This record gives sequence, C-alpha cells and structure tokens, in this order.
Amino acid sequence: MDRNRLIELLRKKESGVITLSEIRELNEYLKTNTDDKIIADALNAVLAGSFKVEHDYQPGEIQRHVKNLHDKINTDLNTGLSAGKPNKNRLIIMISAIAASLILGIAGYYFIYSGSQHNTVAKNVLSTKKGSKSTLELPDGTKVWLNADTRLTYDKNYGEKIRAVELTGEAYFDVVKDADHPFIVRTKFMDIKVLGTAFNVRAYANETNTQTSLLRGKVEISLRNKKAEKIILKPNEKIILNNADVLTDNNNIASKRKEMPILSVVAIKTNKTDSTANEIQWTKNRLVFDQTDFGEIITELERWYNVQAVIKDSSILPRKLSGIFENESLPEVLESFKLAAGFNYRISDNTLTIYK
Amino acid sequence: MFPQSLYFRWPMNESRRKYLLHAIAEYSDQSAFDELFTFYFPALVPFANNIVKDVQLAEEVVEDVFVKLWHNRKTMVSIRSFSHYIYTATKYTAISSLKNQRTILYEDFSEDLRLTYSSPETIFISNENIAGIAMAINELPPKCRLVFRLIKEEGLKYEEVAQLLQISVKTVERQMSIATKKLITALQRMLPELRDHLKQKKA
Repeated sequence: MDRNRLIELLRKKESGVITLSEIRELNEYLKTNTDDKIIADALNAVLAGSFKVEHDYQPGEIQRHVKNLHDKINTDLNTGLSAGKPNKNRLIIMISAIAASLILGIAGYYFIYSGSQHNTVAKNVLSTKKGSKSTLELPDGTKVWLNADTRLTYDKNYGEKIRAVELTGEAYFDVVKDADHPFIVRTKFMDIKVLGTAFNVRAYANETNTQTSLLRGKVEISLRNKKAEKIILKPNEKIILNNADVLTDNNNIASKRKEMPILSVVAIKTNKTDSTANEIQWTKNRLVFDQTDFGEIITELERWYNVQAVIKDSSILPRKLSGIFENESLPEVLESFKLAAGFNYRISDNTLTIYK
Repeated sequence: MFPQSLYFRWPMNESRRKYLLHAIAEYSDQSAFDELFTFYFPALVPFANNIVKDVQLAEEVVEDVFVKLWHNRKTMVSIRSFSHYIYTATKYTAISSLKNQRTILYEDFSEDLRLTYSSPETIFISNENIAGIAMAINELPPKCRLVFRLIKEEGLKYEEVAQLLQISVKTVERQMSIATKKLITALQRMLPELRDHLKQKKA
C-alpha cells in the first residue's frame, strides 16, 4: 500500500468518517504488515491521550479577567451601560454578536438617542432576536424575562419619579416594591401601572391582541385611547385587549367579530404539574399551547425557533391544538402536531412550509 | 525544556462541559460560568488576537463574548456544540471590534499556542518519546496546528473547523493528514521500543 494511502486511511479512521470498504482495505493491509499494525495501534492510543494548551496566563491574571467579566455583566444589568460613555466599538461588538449567534439569537444592548436638541435623553434598549430569550435586572432590582423578538426600552432617568418602561413583544416582570415610584409598562395600546407585583405582558406588534396576566399583587390597566377608564386586575386574572378594535377605534368592527369582545378579563390557567401559570411557562423555556389555534401556534413557532412559515393550505389554521414542549426542537414539536392536525411540513434553511 | 512561567489549561472533558452548561443555564450558576470562562480564555485570546492584532483588545473581545453568553444563558441548552459556538462568536465579535472592518481570510489565522501531551495508560512509551509526540505536533506549521488543536482538543468537527476558518472541508482533511503523517513519523522512530513492549506483553 502506498504510504500516503495508509496515512489517509488512518486519518479517516481517527475522524470516524471511514467507509466500510476502506476499513476492510486497511485491516487487510495491517494483517500482513506487523510494523505498520504496531504504528496504527500506537497512533490510536496516542490520539486518545490529551493534548493540552500551554499558555502564560498566571492564575491571578485570569482571575483579574474574571473580575472584569463580572463588572461588565453588572454594569450592563444595573445601568444598561448608561453609566459610561457610549462606546461605538461596544455597539458594533453587540450587533456583531447577533450575527455570530448561529444557533441562538443574542440580545443586543445598545444605545439610541432620542429627544430634541435641548434635551437629549439616553435610552437603554434591551432586545431579543427571534429564537432567543433573555433575563435582566433593571436599576431598581426589578427582574425582567424577555421572550423572543421583544424590545424593552427605558430612559436614563428611570426611577427618578416613576419607573417607566416601553415594551413591544412579551415580558414577565417581577417588580420590586416601591410605592413612591410606581412602575409603569407602556405598550402600544395598553398601559400597566403597578406598585410591586409579578405579571406578564404580551404585546407583539403582529398579534391581534394585547394581554396582561397578573400572578401576584395588583395592577391598574389603562387603555391608550381611553385614559380615564381604569381596570384593576386581581391575582390570577388576565386581561385581553383586541388590538384591531383599538386601532380603528370603531365599535362597528367589534360587532363584526362577535366571538371576540374588545376587552375581556379571564382567569389564568395553571399547569397542574408544577402550578406555573401557562402565561409564564415561556420563562421556564416551555412552550405551552392549550386549545390554541394552529395559526397562532405557527406565529409562536416562528418567533421561538426563528423561522419563516409558509402555509400552503389555510384550511388547517383554525384547528385547535394543545401541547407542552420543553427544550424540544422544531421538528419534534411539528412531529407531535402533524398527526393530530393532519398536515405535512418541510424545513429548509429558515423556511417552514406547511401543506396538507 | 519549557520556560518556568508556563501554565497549562486545566483539562475539561465533555461531561464536565455539559455539567457546567447545564448549571449555568438552569441555575445561573456563577462559579460554573467562571470555570467555563477560565477554561476558554487562554485559548480564545490568541485566537481573537489573530484578527485584532492587539492582545488587550483580544482580551476585551473574549470578555464581551462571555458577557453576551451570560445574558443568554437560559437559551444555552440549545447550543449543540459549545466549542464551535464560542469560537464562532469570538471570531465575529473580533471582526466587528475592528475600526475598519475587513474580510477575514484563512491567512489571518495562526496558532501561537503550543500543546503538551499526556499519554493514556494504554500506551507504554518512555517520557522522552512522550515529549517527542508533543514536539511532532508543535513542529507543525501554525495553521495545521490550529486545525489539529480545534479538532483534537476542542472537539470540533471537520465541517465546523471549515466554517470557522472559512476553508473547505478538503483543506481541513489535508491539514489533518499532515498532522497524522507527522505523528506516524514520530511513532516510527519509537518502533523498537513499541515492538519490545508488545513482546513483553505477549510473553
């Protein structure tokens, strides 16, 4: 056997991509060439050993970088980088990190500037891409879980008088009690004012309604177009506001969709096994559907797995389905729905095609 | 034969890495996160430095990659190959930290790190020859050494290395063949010793 052929076969064997006929070829050869058999066995043993990296970082030096890392994390969480001067490089780093995330999206932390020439207020923007989630702590210690494709902004003067954040997408808030500084979530159609509580807000731009679910405490809801009307939510209640009706502010449209009132308050459903409300299962990385329209499920899957869905046959969209998924891949989720809903699918690149 | 100030990377096997990632994602375990960082830092900095050509900036890049990782720790469980992910994130973060962003070519990648070798118990060769194996690898051209390290020490797949270094899988295969050839040559020198050992075992 040619020397190079032997090397090639041994390399292939080591990398685990050798074909059956190549293995046969190699074994036949080694049977009659004892020296090369010894070499082949030794190579196999050598590569099973460990090749370690040598470097000249002293342990104390790495420790210093660990501390740097902690400082950076804390700066990001507590002040959203607003303490330091905005750093262009950092901005680029953040955005590039998004590009770098092949498998998961990465939340971008960056600055935008808003306001007039007289009054420039730095805004902190925290956002997640489709397919990614994030958690963060606001300057007052309030914890926020951001679901996929969500954007949360707050002014630099957060907490001076009020604690106001703006939200597009879905977030769960565990608000630190502070009666002197009310916590307000502003969404396109609904404002939520709280004094210290835990609640979930869902206000995606591409969905037909805005929802707020209250887990603990008390929240006061006011609608963007009817500021005077206040609705108080009690624990384990959820308010659903139909966005389309607010958009047109026209009750005639509401009458056309009789099945869906403009505004409704319903009880939160709780998962029996772990007593977590379905509305906040996403914070535990669980995808929960409870008699949900397949059309809505598709929208959710698009966000969760960062895919674009193409529906070839819309007749399957109204079918209602239930399921709980934890850390499951998109094909796994689709496989389990496929039979019940009677559809087939194809996934290529970032496109999910649903057909009958 | 090595300078006194040299430090070795604490070994990390696949199950340890898995354990750490789980502890970080599930329990926000800070000490697990520190261990992960401490492990990757010494190898990622020279890698980033290939691109930014400034050690301090390279260190910052690696810190920033891990800041992002911490913020996204909840979704970490969905990462299939952590080493591939972290090297790729480092590459892109390094590229965009440059004022004049440019395309990174394979030529930019080099390997400044040397490897040490420790043999498993199944192979009986003298200390001298163990050093010979390490030397064989360290004498490889820098790019070849980088490919070898990414595959053997970081556990990347051929396709992942190809993607990371923007080369073809064929090139990765070629580099690994060069490394294999070099190891075989080193082993050939040890043949008498290996033969003796085999005889003893049979006897």
